[in-house]
Amino acid sequence: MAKYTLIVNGIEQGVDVDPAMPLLWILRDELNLTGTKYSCGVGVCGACTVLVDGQAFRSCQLTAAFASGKKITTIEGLSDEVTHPVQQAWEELNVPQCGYCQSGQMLAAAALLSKNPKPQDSIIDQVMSQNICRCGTHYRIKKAIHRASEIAAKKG
Amino acid sequence: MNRRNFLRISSFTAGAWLISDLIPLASDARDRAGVESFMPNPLIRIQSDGKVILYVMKQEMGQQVDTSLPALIAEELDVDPQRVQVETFAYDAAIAGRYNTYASASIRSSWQTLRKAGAAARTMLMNAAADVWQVSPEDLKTENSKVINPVTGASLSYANLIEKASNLKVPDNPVLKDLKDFKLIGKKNKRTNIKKILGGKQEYGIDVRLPGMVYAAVVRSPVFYGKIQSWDDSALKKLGPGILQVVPVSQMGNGVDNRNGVAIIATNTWLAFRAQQLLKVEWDLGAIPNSSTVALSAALKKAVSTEKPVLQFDSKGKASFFSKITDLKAFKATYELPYLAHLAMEPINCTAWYKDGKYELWGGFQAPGAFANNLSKAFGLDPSAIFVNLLPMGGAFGRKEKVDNAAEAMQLSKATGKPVQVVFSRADDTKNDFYRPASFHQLTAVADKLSISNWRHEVGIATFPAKNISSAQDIYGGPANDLCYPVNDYQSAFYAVESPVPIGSWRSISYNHNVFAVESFIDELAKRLLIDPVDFRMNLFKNGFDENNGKTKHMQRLQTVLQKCADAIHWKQKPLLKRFRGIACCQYTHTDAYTAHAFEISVSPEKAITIHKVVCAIDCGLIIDPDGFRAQVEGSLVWALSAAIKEEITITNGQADQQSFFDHDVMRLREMPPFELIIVESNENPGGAGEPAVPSVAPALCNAIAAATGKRIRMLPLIKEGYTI
Repeated sequence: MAKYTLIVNGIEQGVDVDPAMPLLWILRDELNLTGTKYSCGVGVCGACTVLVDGQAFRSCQLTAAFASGKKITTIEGLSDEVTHPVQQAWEELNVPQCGYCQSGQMLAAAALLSKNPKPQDSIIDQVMSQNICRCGTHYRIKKAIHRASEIAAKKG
Repeated sequence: MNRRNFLRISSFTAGAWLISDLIPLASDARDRAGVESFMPNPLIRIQSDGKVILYVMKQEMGQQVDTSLPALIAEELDVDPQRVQVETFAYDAAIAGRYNTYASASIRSSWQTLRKAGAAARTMLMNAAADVWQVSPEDLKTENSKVINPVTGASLSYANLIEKASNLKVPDNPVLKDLKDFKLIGKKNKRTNIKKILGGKQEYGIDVRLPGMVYAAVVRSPVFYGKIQSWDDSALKKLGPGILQVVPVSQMGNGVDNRNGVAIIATNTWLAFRAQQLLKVEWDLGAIPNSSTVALSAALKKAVSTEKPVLQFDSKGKASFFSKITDLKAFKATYELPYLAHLAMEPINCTAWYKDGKYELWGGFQAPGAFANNLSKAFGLDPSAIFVNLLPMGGAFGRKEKVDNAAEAMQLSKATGKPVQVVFSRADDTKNDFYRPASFHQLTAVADKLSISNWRHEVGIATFPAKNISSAQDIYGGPANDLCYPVNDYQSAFYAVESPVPIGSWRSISYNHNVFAVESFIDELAKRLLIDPVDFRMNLFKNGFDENNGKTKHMQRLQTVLQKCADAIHWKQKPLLKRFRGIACCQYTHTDAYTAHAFEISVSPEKAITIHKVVCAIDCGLIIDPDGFRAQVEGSLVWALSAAIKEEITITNGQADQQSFFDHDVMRLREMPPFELIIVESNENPGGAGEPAVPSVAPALCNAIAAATGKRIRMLPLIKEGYTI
């Protein structure tokens, strides 16, 4: 066991965990932040995506040592009143079906937009094809990223 | 009695229609502190603070019943949409089967009842206001949670009519709105619980956290009927004190469907998963029938060619004999389909807490009826000794009709005395699925350009357990017992082959087998007869069905969607150079829905498929929630393409070979083609939306491939034939 200080959604949290325990499970089972989802556990589906210093990472592949001291953003901390442009666009276009993969989708989209505020289809295809959705919200995700880009531009 | 906590529940005896169709007496009639409430029926709670709570009995798995079903009540109740709160209807063991959510049935089975529930409440509120104003209720109208007197301009809010209304009789035959007066049905309605999802606050089964809860992973028998011989947990010591207990889990029959296994109880999920890798279990696997994909495929073909069918049909239904076509002019073709898994994004899980001889459970379940009907029997309990907190599912697609996970969690909570959450790893989920069964189809027909005189559809299918005719029914993909084209001499036959792995419902059930075979074969017949495949189908429709058998209307609706689909893809105009088209249609009789899909594609010499466009035309009757409906059809395309192009479960030694998305890929965002959806306007009764837009996708794509390459696809998925997307 080892002690780490994690900064999750702006709040410093001390944890005492096995150094090999992935961030996904620290968030879910230690900190009860269950918005970050488990689906494959091996970094291939994207359901557990979180932001670390603004970049999208698969939390099932991160250790506490890596994340320690960096700014971790989970879906619970993406915005205060579900007002991030991505969340607004997701709501406008009613993107989610079951919703389970959507926190990972939204964080991946938020990271994409922060780097590339007006992404072309080809970039969206490339980035968002790394996240799996079984309900089939693919079309709406693509539209919603363009819409989020517009909303963010208006907000300035 | 404290007046402020007073709950007014109407006498349900008057609303006999509601009880018999749907509900229970006052199942969720809990008092709520601080407000006075009126429950004209168990699905509606009108509060003195102006809030109206509408309850949903069907289980949410992405199909948005949390929006469509309350809209049906709210429409007739004329309630202010801003003040409506939607909640799930609490589980009641006495009526557990009524929570079951499958077969695209939620709307089509309850839409009139829900409207009546709303209309009855509205009538009572109007009668109450009429009494206050001493006028006739016929002279009043309702709007935004208010009863209005158009003559005087006076209005009374529903909240202020609670007391009076609750003393009135529930009307037997409330008047429903005319379709043209709908304000919510058929309109875009705000999704009630979307903010929870967007903020990461939606609680799925896997997110349940209870005080003192422990986590379990189970090493399950690799084959369904395997038995534990021994286990060795010595390697677990190195994982430290977080490993709390190792506990065997027993297989329970009786529709519970769990496997024998050994569970590790740990302080977190990750540790339980690690221990699962280290625990060694020796199994007695027993004899496994047709234990590989190759053996099963051979057995399916052999059954169709040498055995007598176990079930046969003719145009009137079940038949007493089956005769093959011996005409030498007959055309014959075969098709083969693999096992398929579900891989819902939320892996199978369940949380249970055993206390004082009773179980409380948390999880997402498509068939809560199994708690009262199967689990209680398996555990030797009265159904009332199991209570389930029903939570939304992170995808289900038929897999979550099973309660194998609940049986495990219940056994483990009893053994540990703690609340236990069992989580299937992704590999557990894939390897312990109830698969869409593999099948082999042989079709034979005598036809000319204008008609089909003789038609035989023989289906060999994997059934479980054993050669079990009951599981051969169309729920799991059984025989084709119906054909949407008129044929003089129609017969189908069913051959059962023992499956090595369990089978289950998979979004669009038997239709995804049978429609693939039928629509591929129709296309082949057209090619052989040198007629355009749309013209051929239209010629067949012209022959018509016998007026008495009720199929004519179905056929006409199918014909309409086929025509609209063909028009939209400009079927009659030549495509651009090197582009080819394919079309297929599906009469989804189960849920009164009619769909056609058309594809325009090109195929490179290296077998890389480019899909330029997909069109879907669908008639699903009256649409309650158009945006949610569109989402279902979009999702169906993704689901069906994924299966047609990529998905397959292969079997070795009686076990699934695949485990996760790295060896079982699914459709990705960049692979989705441009899509046009045409919804046929209809005032027919609402059909089911979740499944009917799946089956015609694969044959339409494969018919386009045949047009492009001259090669018929006889086996799915396409990647197995060397195609890529």
